[in-house]
Amino acid sequence: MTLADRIVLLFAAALIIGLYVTLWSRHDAGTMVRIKSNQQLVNTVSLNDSQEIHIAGALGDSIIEIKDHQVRFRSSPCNNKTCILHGWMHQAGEVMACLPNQVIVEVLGDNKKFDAISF
Amino acid sequence: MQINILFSHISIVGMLLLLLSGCDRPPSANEQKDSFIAMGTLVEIDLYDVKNNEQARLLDLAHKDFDYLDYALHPWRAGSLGRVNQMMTAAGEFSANPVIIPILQQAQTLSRQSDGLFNPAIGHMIRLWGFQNDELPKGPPPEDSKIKQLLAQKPSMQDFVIKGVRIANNNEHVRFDLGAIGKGYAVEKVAEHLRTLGVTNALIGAAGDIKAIGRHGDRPWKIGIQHPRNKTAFASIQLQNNEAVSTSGDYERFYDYNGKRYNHILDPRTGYPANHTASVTVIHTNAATADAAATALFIAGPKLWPKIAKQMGITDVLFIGIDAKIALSPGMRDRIHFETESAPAFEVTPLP
Repeated sequence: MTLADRIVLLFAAALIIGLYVTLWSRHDAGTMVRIKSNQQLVNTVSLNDSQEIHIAGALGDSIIEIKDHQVRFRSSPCNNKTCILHGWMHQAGEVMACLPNQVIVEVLGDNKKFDAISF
Repeated sequence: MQINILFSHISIVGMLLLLLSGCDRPPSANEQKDSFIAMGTLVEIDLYDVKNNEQARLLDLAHKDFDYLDYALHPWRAGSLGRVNQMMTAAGEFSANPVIIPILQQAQTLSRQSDGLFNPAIGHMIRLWGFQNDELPKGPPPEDSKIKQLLAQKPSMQDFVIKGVRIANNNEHVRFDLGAIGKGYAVEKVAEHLRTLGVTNALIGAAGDIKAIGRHGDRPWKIGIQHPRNKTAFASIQLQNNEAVSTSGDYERFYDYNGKRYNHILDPRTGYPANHTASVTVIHTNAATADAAATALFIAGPKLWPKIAKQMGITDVLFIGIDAKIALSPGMRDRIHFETESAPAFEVTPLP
């Protein structure tokens, strides 16, 4: 077997492993972010697109930040800031709501780790 | 010769690709999930294997149920329970809206079973602390003299008698606040409604109160349990058909004042927040029972919870003390799965 043969086989094996990881393995990372305000869907965006989104809620604007495949409430007009303290979300199925401002942020994806969280 | 080698390489790659295609992913599920805010919390409904043209209608009906029960069960607004609370200002007999009767009867039973630790009759005390509002209070905590004054009135779920839709009240200081059972009750009622509409697989959740109908395809519904001191799900359980799980924690609703934390779960024996427990998770077939039991065991604390669990008919309990020590009932030990790399230390506490 020549060096070229080995390189070809190595490349083929790497290709197979890469395809398996990207297409077949069950990972729980989210892919999209769904945002609702006042019980209405207002935006669905990719978790891959880093950006800040201003969402008008019942009390004022919530700022939703998407960065490095994660999403969080960056600022909120509510008093207790529970939504901000919750921090970043990235797993499919994670949900966070700012109850006073009536804003809900959900991470969507095919492979949820849990169907729901009891908290 | 070179052509033969090339063919052999192509064949190897082809065979590997064929091998890979054998590991087919499961087909994408017919799953529809919706979330909305009702009863002062986040509600999530997951429908599995429901016809596409039925999903939106069912989710809308479930949403309307939650909104109606929010109206009916709110303690101080002009709904069904608000009206009952108005009538409770004087001893005597009155008619209540029939929608409120079953939950009051169930709450009476659960209160008695919990030796009064679950006590929805302390509405005045909950209002004094300000925990009945959607927006959390900021402090300071109420004056001790006012707490003692309300304690002396001894409001209890045994201070009234229900006959049909008539309520005979024996204590004018009773005010109902169903915050420790209302969400579980609503989850149970919505699950019942969805079943009557033909739904065979669904998950209905309102914050810590979650009820399973059927399964998630070829597996049971999988529920993560949040750790009380970090926001990760450190454990999980599988809910079988018709089971409900409920968690009560000191991290759900609280405020800090002068460096001290005041959580929303009030001990009816002292009038102050129960402070020996970080969180309690229980499983039961009735979501309202699970909701009330989680609160009762939280208040019971590390020594008393096994006795109260036994009395309330709860066999599966995860109890985390304020010192972060984990205790499991034998039933919960057999079904909990820790999601951490290594299982945390815990002790198994048998029920009496």
